[in-house]
Amino acid sequence: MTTQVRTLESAPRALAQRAASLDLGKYGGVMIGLVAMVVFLALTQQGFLAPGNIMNILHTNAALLVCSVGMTFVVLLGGFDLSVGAFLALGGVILAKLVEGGLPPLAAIALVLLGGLVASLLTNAGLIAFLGLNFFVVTIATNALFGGLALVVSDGRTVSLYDDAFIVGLGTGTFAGVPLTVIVAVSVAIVAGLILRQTGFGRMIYAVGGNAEAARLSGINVIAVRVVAYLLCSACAVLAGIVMASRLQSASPTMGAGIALMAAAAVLLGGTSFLGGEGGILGTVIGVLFLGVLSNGLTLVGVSGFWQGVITGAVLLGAITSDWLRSRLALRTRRSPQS
Amino acid sequence: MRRPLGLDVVETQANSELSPQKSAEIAEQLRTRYGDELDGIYDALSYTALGAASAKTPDFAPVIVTYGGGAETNEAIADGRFTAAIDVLNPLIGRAKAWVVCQRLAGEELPGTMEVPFLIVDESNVAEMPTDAEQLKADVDFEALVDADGNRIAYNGITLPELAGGAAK
Repeated sequence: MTTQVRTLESAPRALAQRAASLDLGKYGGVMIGLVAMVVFLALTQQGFLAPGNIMNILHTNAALLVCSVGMTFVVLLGGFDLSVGAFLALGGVILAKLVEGGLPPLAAIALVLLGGLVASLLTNAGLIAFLGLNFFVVTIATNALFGGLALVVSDGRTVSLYDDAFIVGLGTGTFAGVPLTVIVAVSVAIVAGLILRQTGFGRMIYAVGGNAEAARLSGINVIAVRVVAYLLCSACAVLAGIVMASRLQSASPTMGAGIALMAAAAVLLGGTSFLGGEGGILGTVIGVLFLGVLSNGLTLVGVSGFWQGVITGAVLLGAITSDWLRSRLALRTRRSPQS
Repeated sequence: MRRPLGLDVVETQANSELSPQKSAEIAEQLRTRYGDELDGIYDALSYTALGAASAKTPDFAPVIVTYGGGAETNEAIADGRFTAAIDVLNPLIGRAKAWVVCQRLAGEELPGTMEVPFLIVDESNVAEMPTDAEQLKADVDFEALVDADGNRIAYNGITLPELAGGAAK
């Protein structure tokens, strides 16, 4: 009898635990918002659910998804990378210059990715992980550094990629009706998700993000984990630059403007805590979809482009508040069994 | 704004980000909504219009006209991504503005307002456009003209192509 009462009393807790294991608590708010937006737009905007429009949303946000996936790694560590926009722009511009110079596009892509990794190792990854410098200060500096380099390399101009069939094909081609850029972005998200969920390195990221000192004492090489996370973030930013340049069939030194904050917004909306140690790629994908549908929907509804920024900002403030509420509730839930 | 004859403006969108990406997104939405029934897109910035042009497909090839000009714009006109641009000759205008300031500092009298010339560029005259470097380095004598056509600055010493379409202004 006593056991039965205990079971009944603990049922809500068990449900909560099950929900938590499915990350419903993290994604619940943004999922409800996303579904509500989709239902509203489907009912009020003819053509919102048209396959062409759905593909537009995915195509438009492919680069943001790649960038946000990379950002997820460093946010899970309790860090942040303000320089992803500069890495993105520099990657796109160097790719365009290399292709313009006659290098085969695949070789140029490989070279740009490699260059991005080296640049990150010497700056973000090296300075933050090895020297322990503040990630905001370092990435503000590298944002200026690589953003400036993008201007130098391009001479401040937009470099055309219109003549390269491979790049144009990557940016405009489809496979089974799905844009290639979307396939690339989803593939990156799947691989990142597998890394985080199925590998020891993924578990180390959560451990370091949750409590770096405890992770170090348990034998995890915290510096190496941080280096790899920042390298992955930069590599994703450069890849996002390649995706964006191929989509626009050109690369400009300013094309990464604003993407760092959008990526951070997507990661935050997706339930990854800015304190680190909590969240994941699925949430980031949902966050990107949320922002993509919001932007698409506001344009369809006819909201002025200027008001779109105001609304997006308000939504993000709501997300930050809900993140704070969620962490407070989680803290209370953890404390309550002892009381 | 006076409605252009023969044109039916179906939609106006603000590119709040002033970015090619946003222009591409807007153009892709227009493609979904209007398809090949849309005849043209006017993007008010040549830099962002490159994004709009990236939405063109064999089934969606609206005329794209823009404002601004420069090397990338001329390149896009030459390869057919843009149909035309209103080229404001930015480097030359910059020099003209500096000349006006110098004239005033030297005590010269100038009209209170002056027009600056611009060009409509399309495939017929794009090859004759002076490059930005030529506009910057050409030995140009600026001249303030006050006549029946109004007050304007003349660029003497640099060859500019005929206006596309042969219009006089």
